[in-house]
Amino acid sequence: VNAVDVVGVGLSGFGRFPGRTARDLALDAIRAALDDAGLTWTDVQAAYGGSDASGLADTLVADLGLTGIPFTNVKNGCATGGSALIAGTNAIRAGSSDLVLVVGFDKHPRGAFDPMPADWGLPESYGTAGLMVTTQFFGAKIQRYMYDHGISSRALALVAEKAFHNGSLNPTAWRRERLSVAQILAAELVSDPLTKYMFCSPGEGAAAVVLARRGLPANASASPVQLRAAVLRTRRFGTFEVFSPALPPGPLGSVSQDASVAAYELAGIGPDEVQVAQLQDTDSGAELMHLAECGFCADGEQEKLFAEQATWIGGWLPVNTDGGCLANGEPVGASGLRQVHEVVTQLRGRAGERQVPGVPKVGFTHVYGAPGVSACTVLVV
Amino acid sequence: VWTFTVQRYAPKSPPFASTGAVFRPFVVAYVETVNGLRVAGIIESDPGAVRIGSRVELVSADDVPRFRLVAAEADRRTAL
Repeated sequence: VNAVDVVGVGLSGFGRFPGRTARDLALDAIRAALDDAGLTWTDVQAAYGGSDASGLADTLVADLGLTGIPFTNVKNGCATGGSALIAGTNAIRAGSSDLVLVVGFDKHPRGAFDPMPADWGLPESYGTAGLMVTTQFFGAKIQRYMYDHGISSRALALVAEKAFHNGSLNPTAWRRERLSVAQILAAELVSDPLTKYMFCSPGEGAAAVVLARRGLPANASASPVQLRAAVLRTRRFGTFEVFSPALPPGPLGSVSQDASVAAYELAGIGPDEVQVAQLQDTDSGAELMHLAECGFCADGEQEKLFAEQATWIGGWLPVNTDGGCLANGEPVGASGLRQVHEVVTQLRGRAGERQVPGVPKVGFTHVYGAPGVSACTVLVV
Repeated sequence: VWTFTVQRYAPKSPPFASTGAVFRPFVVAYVETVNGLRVAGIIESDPGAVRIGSRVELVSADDVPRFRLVAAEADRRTAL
């Protein structure tokens, strides 16, 4: 099996870009990733990519060049970028391609997502009654978690405070204004106990990654980062997910736990070795719970971590150093690859003002989404 | 009530069937039955009165399960 390196990463801006299409943003990200790798489109042997709501990635060849390579569209909700990354990784592992481009992009309108029940295997009545709203899940899940594990509302605000602080250090972030804990707590509630500053917003953006078989000449010039694991999991029986009409009796499992454990096993690296992490922060409660689900702390230990500022850039486990979804918004197709971009940038020591001191050697990324899907990666220099 | 949140803003229509010009926030909850099953639904009571552990009763299941706080619970909350 061939080993896989990340040899280039690129982002578009994240935020709102009137007059620019999601395809325009995807082209920005792809060109940035190829430039970063010191390569051109004609070097690419296969491509995988997609968006959740903004069209087909393979149409980008009209602008990139009609080179005839296999370009596969991927559409897998919040795991679109992660799934495309896994497909590209497997192409290199299997020996069918040596150099692969992966891209994710999206452009969502203002406001919450408006999924249709029939697309999710649910009765129409769930939509008409007002239950097809993703923010409800995040509010309800963290509400119970706070009750079970003694987490305060202030802890939720501390996650958001860190996100906007990190966003203020990131030139491509959407939300770059720092907010105080008091401002975050005093903001209007969206889905109790979460206020508007504790939720990310659907937004616009694109991210691209160039993968190469380890040992290629292309790697030499490009400051490669090893992709030790890229893993996707779907929910098992007895987990609490977005749009669950009912939960069975007994303790609840976690698809994020399943995916992260599989990624650690594949990489031969445990969570205690991770020095920088990207965890899905659809809302501040999600980041807080994902710390435990991905093995970085015990349930309820987050209060202590936050008191020590352990997840800040100067802490022992910096999380969402680019501001995460809270500061970058959530263009669904792009989010997973934005996370990889940030960890690669940190491991290369090129994160500028938001660089983790001492330059970390091991990084981890995690996405979670409806209807119970998680993708994780382990990256090493 | 195993857990709950409050839908504070009007969901997008469609799929939401708006019932009037003024949107009123409503409680979305997972209600635990005696056998441990947790069922998603709406609690048609004052959002400020609902807590984890509150007792509710089923009032209809025509569209989605709809509950309300049992009277004693509502009285106790009012008294508090």
